[in-house]
Amino acid sequence: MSVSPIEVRRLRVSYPSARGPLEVLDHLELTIPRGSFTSLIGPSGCGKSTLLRILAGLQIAPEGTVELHGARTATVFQRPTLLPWRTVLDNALFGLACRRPPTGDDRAAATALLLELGLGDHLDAWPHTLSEGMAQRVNLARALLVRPDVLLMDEPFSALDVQSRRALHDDLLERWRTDALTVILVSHDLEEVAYLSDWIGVLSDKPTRLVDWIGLELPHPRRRGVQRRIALLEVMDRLAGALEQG
Amino acid sequence: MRAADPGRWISLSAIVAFGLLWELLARTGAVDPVLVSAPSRILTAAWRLSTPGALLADAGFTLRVFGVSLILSTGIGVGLGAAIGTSATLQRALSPFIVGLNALPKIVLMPLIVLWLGIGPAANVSLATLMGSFPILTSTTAGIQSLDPDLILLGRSFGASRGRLWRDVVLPGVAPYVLSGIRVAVSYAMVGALIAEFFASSRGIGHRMILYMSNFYVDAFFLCAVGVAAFVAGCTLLVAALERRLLRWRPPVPQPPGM
Repeated sequence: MSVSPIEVRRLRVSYPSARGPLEVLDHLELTIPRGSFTSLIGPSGCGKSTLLRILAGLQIAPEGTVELHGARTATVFQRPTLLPWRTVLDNALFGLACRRPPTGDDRAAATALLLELGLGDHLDAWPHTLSEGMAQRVNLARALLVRPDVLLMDEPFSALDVQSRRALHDDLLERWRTDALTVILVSHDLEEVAYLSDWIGVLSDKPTRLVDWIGLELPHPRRRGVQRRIALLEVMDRLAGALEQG
Repeated sequence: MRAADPGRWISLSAIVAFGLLWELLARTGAVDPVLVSAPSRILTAAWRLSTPGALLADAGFTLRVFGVSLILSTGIGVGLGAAIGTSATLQRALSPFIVGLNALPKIVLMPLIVLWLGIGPAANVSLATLMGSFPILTSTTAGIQSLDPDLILLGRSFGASRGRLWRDVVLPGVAPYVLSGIRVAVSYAMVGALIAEFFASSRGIGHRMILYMSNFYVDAFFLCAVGVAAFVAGCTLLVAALERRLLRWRPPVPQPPGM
């Protein structure tokens, strides 16, 4: 496995607007360690999603560089965006199918993963029958099945109720550990990023710069016990402070 | 679902009741059977005409015109609809012509078509295709434009090729629209085929209906009308069944009361 970090250098993005070019990312610098769970937090519309789309290769960096050192990415979008005409199993296989026809082994792997994510009874279900939480699990499975080195997640939990969100947090941490993934999560939920991440980048409002870079060495699971919860609150406090100043 | 559907039985009973009432009115002399015929007279006409002869040959001619026109309509409608749906420039450029042609009752073009192509199957197919293409064209365009752009983005994020995107995302997404366009086009293409035969043809069911009428053979005229109606209804039901079969993935649409 390559250990070179993911590097964002002097990334600058602006969009045309009625009052001249609107600067979204202002010479952003980021170094994201491989194998880390890194979250990016910032005010709405600060260009987090733009950054993620550039990392995913869906948008070209107009100025500056993004160096992934050949790492394969897969993206989990905010909305589950399942293909309504494919069953749960075939939706989970869609990411793979975009690159090559899925084999019997792929189907077995997909079935096993969906089973693990609690969707064993819904392999042949149509997406319209799923709850939001279940659909988001299929979304996650679809990204994991392409065996990415880097998992890019754009506020994937924001539409979920607290219970499904927490269950999915733990599933994600489990996959992160077992699959040796690098996770880059964009979120605006302080508790969520404090619970999940080992690195947190705090971004400012437009034009976006990095205002704080916080390393966390709290043991998991972080919601268990008073001591850990207090540590979690302290991180959230620091994040809130950084966001206010940014 | 099918066996327990009471609506089906109500419809069937209504048809039978209508036939009985029609027969009764004609028999009692409340209406003149020479002018409005009667179910028994239509059946007699069918019996007398069903020798393998002119009527069957004419039915075959109309069916061929209808079939070829429906295939051409689907090709033109889907092709042009997809082109317009994917290109804003093309849509801008072509929409005045499409709106204009769509607003025009296509029947008025028949004399021109005959002038250009002469009397014969080519003219009939042209009118029927012209009429059949529009519903498919407009519904295909609507289908392409209502595709969820996030689905395309999703495919691209997984590195799908253009061909893969069309095959796995665009086509299945547009299929429901194309099928409902075809369902409408079935009756339009048949109307086109028949009208072409009314106006300028020496063959086909439409021609034969005019022939019967000019000989005041109302029973045979009704026989043709009922036959065409039954055939088009059958085709429509077939496409609807195909839609249900292919589109199992769609959430059930709540039925409005009385439908």
